[in-house]
Amino acid sequence: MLRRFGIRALVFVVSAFGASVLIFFVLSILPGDPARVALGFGATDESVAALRTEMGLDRPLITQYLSWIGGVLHGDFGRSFSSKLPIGPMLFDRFTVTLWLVLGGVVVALIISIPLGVLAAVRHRKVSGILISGLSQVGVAVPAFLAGMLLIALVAMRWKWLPPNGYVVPATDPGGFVKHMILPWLSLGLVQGAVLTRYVRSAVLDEMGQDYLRTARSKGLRPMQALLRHGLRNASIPVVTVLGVQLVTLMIGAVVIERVFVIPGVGSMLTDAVSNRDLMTVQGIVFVLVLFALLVSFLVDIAYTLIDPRLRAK
Amino acid sequence: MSLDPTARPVDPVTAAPGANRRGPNALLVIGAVIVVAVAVAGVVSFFWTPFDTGFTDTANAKVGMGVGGHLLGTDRLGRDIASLLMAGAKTTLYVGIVAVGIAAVIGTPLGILAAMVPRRYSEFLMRCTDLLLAFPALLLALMFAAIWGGGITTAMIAIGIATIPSFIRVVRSGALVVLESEYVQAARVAGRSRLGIAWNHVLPNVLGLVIVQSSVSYAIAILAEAGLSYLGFGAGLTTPSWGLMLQESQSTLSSYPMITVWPALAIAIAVVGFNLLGDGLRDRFDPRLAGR
Amino acid sequence: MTTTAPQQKSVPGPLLEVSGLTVRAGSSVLIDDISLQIAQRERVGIIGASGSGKSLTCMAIAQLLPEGLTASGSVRMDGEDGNLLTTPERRLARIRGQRTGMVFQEPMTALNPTMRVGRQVAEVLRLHGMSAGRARAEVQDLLTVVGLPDPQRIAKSYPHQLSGGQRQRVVIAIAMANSPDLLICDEPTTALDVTVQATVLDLIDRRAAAADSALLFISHDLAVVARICDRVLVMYGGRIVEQGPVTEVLTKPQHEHTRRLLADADLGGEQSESSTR
Repeated sequence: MLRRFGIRALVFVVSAFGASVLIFFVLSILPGDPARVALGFGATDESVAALRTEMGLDRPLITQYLSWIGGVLHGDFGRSFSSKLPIGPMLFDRFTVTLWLVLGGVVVALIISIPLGVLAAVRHRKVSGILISGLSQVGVAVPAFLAGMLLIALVAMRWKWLPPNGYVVPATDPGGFVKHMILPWLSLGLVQGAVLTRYVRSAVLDEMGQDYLRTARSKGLRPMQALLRHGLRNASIPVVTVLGVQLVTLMIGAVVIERVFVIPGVGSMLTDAVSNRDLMTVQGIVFVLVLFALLVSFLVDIAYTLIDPRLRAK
Repeated sequence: MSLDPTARPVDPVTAAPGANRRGPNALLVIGAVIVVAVAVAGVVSFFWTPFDTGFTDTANAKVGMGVGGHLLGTDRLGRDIASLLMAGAKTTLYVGIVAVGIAAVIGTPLGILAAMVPRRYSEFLMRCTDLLLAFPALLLALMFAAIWGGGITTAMIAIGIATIPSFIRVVRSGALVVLESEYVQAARVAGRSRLGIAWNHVLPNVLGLVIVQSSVSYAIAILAEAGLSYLGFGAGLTTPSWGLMLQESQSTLSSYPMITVWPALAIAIAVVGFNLLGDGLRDRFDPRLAGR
Repeated sequence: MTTTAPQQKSVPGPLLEVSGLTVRAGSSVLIDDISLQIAQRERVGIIGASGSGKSLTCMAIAQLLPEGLTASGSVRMDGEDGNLLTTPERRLARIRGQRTGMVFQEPMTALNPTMRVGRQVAEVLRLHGMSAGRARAEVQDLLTVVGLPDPQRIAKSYPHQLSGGQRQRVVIAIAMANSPDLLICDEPTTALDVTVQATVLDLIDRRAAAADSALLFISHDLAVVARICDRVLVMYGGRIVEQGPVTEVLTKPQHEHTRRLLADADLGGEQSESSTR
């Protein structure tokens, strides 16, 4: 078991390193001159050269990379090309906001998908089951930002139940924080919940024919009890994989949702940086997001091992 | 019988209504019809749309269905929604074909390669695939937009690259099955070259999987393009796009909801169509290959 | 076609009475109008080739038919009101595991792979009213009685850590935990190695005797049925074609199919040792 974790951890570290190299070189080799981009096209050659020196762009790429990644390891993401402010502190603030958004979205998605997925599987031959499957099929086809737009129009504008946008720091006003986050959470969660419902359904369907459920019933468990006590844990093994992929999708979906609800998360920081062609900031954010994705797949692997005793032996 | 979750299941949605080679699967047909309809709308828009997509009928702005000869009404500027939807279908087709094309053309040979090379090379290839998987389409598109500026081309390429891993994985698992089969073993014994086996045996047999994956990826590409256009890094203002239509309709959503509803429906229906087509085709092709 | 159990003390009435049992899948009939009785403590075997419907019969009696199959007729149990085929699931659940126990063919898949063996055994005790503390102690006893070495360790194991024979012993421990009146065994030794078949069979024999349980034993192996059962039913094509005391049916078979089964068994007798795995 420990060996397995060790190998996984190693894969994570090597992948993270690979990702950092990939991001750095794609962003450094492909574009024109970031210094000129930052100064605008009217700038003189001398001022561009001066800025290049200041930003360290005149050094060899390897040196640039090493100084960047060395900084990142200490939480120093360098300085923004456009605002000249250090990127790290802002990145961490924004990332926290996005993490709240994503976690809420996951919770909503799970609350929706587990009961509905189980129900759709159990009733797969009945109208209700087929209806749930159909609805989830439609839910999959709705972009999260559209769900957000519709929720704003309906819940915030027409019924005026909740604020249409904005963000409140949870520490200062927990109630206001929740009020502002409900619609974003729903937008992310409803759509991802629809995706997840389909996977929960097929995972539960797969377990439903298993012998051990028949044994469970021969002990005196009612069908639903047998499924919940014995089937659910086994069904969760494939669902956890999907959940990992979903977390990454949610993180990226959050980029768009933050635009819809004007939330100051890492996504809006990224879109701003892209608009400003602030490559240093983009580089830092992309790396953090990719690191998150890699971390999730590492954790998913550990989760497997915890759920499925058959993997622990190896 | 009552609810019985322990009974052996038959899945009616993905398998049942006639899926088992008893005539065409209803869902597959629905999917195919939708996909063809989108394609026809897009192609026709090259030659004809009810109104010019640039024409702003200022006297008839934000009108409902049928007013002023506008089949589905007009948007905030007075542009004909039906015409914009048709032109948007063209963009959707274009983006989807290029993105999925990039992914299929690069991913399929890599998938076959990963199945045929010795374990340590394939292991490395699959690790690289996993790494690429950590770069979702939207993230990659934003990264490229930072370099080249946003736009439909950047979006297409980014979505395409981000879709490569799913092709590699699907094709590899299909190819592994084909390579185990007796006729490939026989071809090996007969001394056929690796390339010959890959071209003559493996590729034709995984093509079904590639088509299924293309359909599913197409749906994902449509959603990714919509998201990018909404953020302003996809279709430019002159390129008609469903995602852009949604973004522009946001300000009028509470007062003129139909301007939002039409492109929303277009996206949802197209995505459902491609998903149904993909699911339906998956049932059609050799179940041995359909595994994962 | 003679019958009546020629044995045992005076019994109040049959423990299980099945009459007119018919199982259908849609319009096709899989089990056709089967009737049988099992007296208290009686041991009844059902033999037949695969596809003869013997397993389905026992699933129908236990009300655990696969989805899509429907049963009609009547199944009555001594001490339970009414026809079990129409009894609500809630009441059936109280009977299962308490008055009936079941052992299945495939020990590799019959246990939940993600739950410790001890908990799986304890569950059947807890479900029928035993306290958690007592159940934990009882599990040790049950595992010891079915001949598992080091029951403490086995209780903490997951099914994949046990051998096929060990798993089947666990399943028997579960089935016999509440000393049921009727133990239903569906080819319990078929999937096991030849070397452990005999010991598992022996275990079923002893446990059923110790708990005074009646036995409904499904097998395609005549030798096994001859060893365990008092009376045997022969099934073919979804019907019972012959029945009677074991010795009688096996020595003087009436039905052509029974003769064929016997002939096959004799032919296979010498080979089975070497050919089975």
